[in-house]
Amino acid sequence: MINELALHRLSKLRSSKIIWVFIGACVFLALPTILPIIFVDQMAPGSVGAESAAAPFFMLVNFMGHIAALILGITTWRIDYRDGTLLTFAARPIARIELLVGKIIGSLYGLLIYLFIAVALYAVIHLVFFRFAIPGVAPLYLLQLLTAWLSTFGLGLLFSNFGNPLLATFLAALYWFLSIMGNIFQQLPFQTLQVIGDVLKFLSIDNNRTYSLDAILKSDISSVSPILSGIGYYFAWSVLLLSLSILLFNKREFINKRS
Amino acid sequence: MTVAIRFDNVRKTYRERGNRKEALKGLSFEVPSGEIVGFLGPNGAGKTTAMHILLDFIQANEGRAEILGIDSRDPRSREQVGFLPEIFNFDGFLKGEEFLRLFARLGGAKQSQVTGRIAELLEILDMPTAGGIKIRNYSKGMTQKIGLAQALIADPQVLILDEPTSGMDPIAKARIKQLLQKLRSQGKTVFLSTHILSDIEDIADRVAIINNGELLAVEKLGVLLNSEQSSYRIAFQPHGAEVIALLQARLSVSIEGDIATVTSQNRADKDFALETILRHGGDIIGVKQTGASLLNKFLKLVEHEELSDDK
Ligand SMILES: Nc1ncnc2c1ncn2[C@@H]1O[C@H](COP(=O)(O)OP(=O)(O)OP(=O)(O)O)[C@@H](O)[C@H]1O
Ligand SMILES: [Mg+2]
Repeated sequence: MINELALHRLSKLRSSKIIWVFIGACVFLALPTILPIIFVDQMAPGSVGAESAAAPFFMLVNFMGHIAALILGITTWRIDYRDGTLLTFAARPIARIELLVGKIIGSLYGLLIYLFIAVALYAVIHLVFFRFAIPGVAPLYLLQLLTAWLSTFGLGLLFSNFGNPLLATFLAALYWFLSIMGNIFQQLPFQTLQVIGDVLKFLSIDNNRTYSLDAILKSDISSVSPILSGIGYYFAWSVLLLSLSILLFNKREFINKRS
Repeated sequence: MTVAIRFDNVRKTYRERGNRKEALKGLSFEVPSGEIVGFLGPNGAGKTTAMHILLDFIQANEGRAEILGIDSRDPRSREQVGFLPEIFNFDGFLKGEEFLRLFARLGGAKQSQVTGRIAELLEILDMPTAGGIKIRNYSKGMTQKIGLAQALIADPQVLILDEPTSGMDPIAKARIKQLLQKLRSQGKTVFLSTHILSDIEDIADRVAIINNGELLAVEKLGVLLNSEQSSYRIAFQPHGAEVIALLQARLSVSIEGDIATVTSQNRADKDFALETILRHGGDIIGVKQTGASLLNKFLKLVEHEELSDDK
C-alpha cells in the first residue's frame, strides 16, 4: 500500500512543471562549476589543485539538494490537498499515517534520484578527466548530505501546514538566515554573544561541520567522528520534524475547497 | 435488518475567524443495508459535512458514526466503502485505466480480477475507450463517471455518493440510475445525496431529509409520500351551468373565462367530479395530481411550502 502511494507521488512529481524548472536551473548552474574542473585539467594535468576544483560542483549539489528537499517537503501532501485529489485517497482503507508516509517515501525517492544523478555526473567527469582516488569518507559524506537534506525536507513538510507555499519557503529561508547570523555571532569577541551564536546555530539546524568540502575531497582528515556526529545531529532533527508533521497531518481536517 | 451506516448524535461546529457555524446539531439516523437511501436537504443543510465525518475527513465534536458496525475513525471501516466526492478532481496525468488500477490496489482488490472489472465498468458507464485517455482530457461528465468507476472498482458493499449525477447528461443519468438499481439487487447499500428529487423518487427505498444540521425525516419513500394528502385538479370546459351547479354542491369550483377548475381532496371526490362532468356535459382539458410529490413533501418539511406547485 505504502509503495503504491510512494510510486504515485513520484509519477505525479514527474508530471509536474516545477520539476522541469528545477532540472533546467540545475543544468544552467552546473555548467560553470563543471567547466573549471575540466579547465584545471587542461592547463595543468595531474596538478594538486584538481581536487579543489571539484568543490564548487559539490557546493552546488548540496545547495540545490536543499532547494529540492524544501520543494519536495512543501508539496508532499499539500498539492493533493489543494487540487482535491487527496480525498479519494483518504476514502480508501488507509490510515492517515500510512497515507503520509507513502507520500514522504515517494518524495524521498525523488531526492535519492537527484543525488544519484549528481554523483553519476561527477563520477563521469572524474573518470574522463582525472584519476585521483575517491576519498574513503565519500559515502559517509554523502550520507551526511542526505540527512541534512532530510531535515530541510522535514522543515518544508512541517511548514506546509501553513498552507501558503510562499510563507513556508520564507520560514525555511529564515533558518538559513539564522545559520548565517549564528556564524557571525560565533566569531564575535564577547562570550555572551558567542553563546547566542551557538543557540542560533542550534536552532538553524546547521552544525559546525569540522571538515570543509575541500578537506574531504583531498582526504585531508584525521577522524570520521565529526561526520558521524553531523549525521546523528541531522538525523535527530529529521526525526523530530517528520514526527511533528505526521502528528499534525493525523489531526488535520480535510476540508473540501470550492475553487 | 443490518445497519450499513449509523450516525449517533453527531455534532459538528466549524470555526472560521471567530465565526461559529453549527453544521450538524446532533444528527442520528441509520441506513439499513441493501437499500438505496437518498440524503436530501437544501444547500448548506450539512449533507457533505455528515458524509465527510463518516469518512473521517473531519472529526465530529460530539457523537459518532459507523459503517458496517465499525467506528468511522478506524480505517478498516472504509474497507467496504466506495466514495465519490461532491467536488472531485482526479490526477490528470493518469490514464483512466492507470487511475482505476491504482485505486483497485489501494482498495485491496484482487489483481487478477482488476483488468476485467475495469473494462466492465467502463462499458457500463458508456465510455469503453476512456481507459486509454488521460483524465486531464476528459469532459466534466467523463471525469465524474471515472470517479464513480473509482468508487466501484473494489466492489464495495457500501457506496457513498455526494451528488453523483450533478454534471451528467440525461442518458448518463439514466444509466447511473440503472446501475444503482443493479447494485441494490446485488445487496449493496447506496447512500447518496442529491438535489434531483425525481431521481430519488424513481430509485430510492428510503429518504433522509435534513435542514440546518437537523434531521427532519427518515422514512421509507412510500410511507413518506402516502402521509401526504394528495389533491386533484380537473380543468374542463363546461357545457352549460348545470354541471357547475352539481359540482359546486360538493366541491369547490373556480371559473376563469370559459374554463372551469374543480379541486378534489381525495380519490372518491375526483371520481365523482369526472363522472359528473362526463355525464352532464363538459370537455375535460386536464387532470393534475398535486401534493403527493417528493418535492412538495420536501418543501413542506423545510418550511418552504409557498414554493409548492399546488399554490
Ligand atoms: N470548511 C468550512 N468552514 C466553515 N463552514 C463550513 C465549512 N464547510 C461547510 N461549512 C458550513 O456548514 C454548513 C453545511 O455545509 P455542507 O457543505 O455540509 O452542506 P450541504 O448540505 O452539503 O450543501 P450543498 O447542497 O450545497 O452541497 C454550511 O452552512 C456551510 O457554510
Ligand atoms: Mg454538499
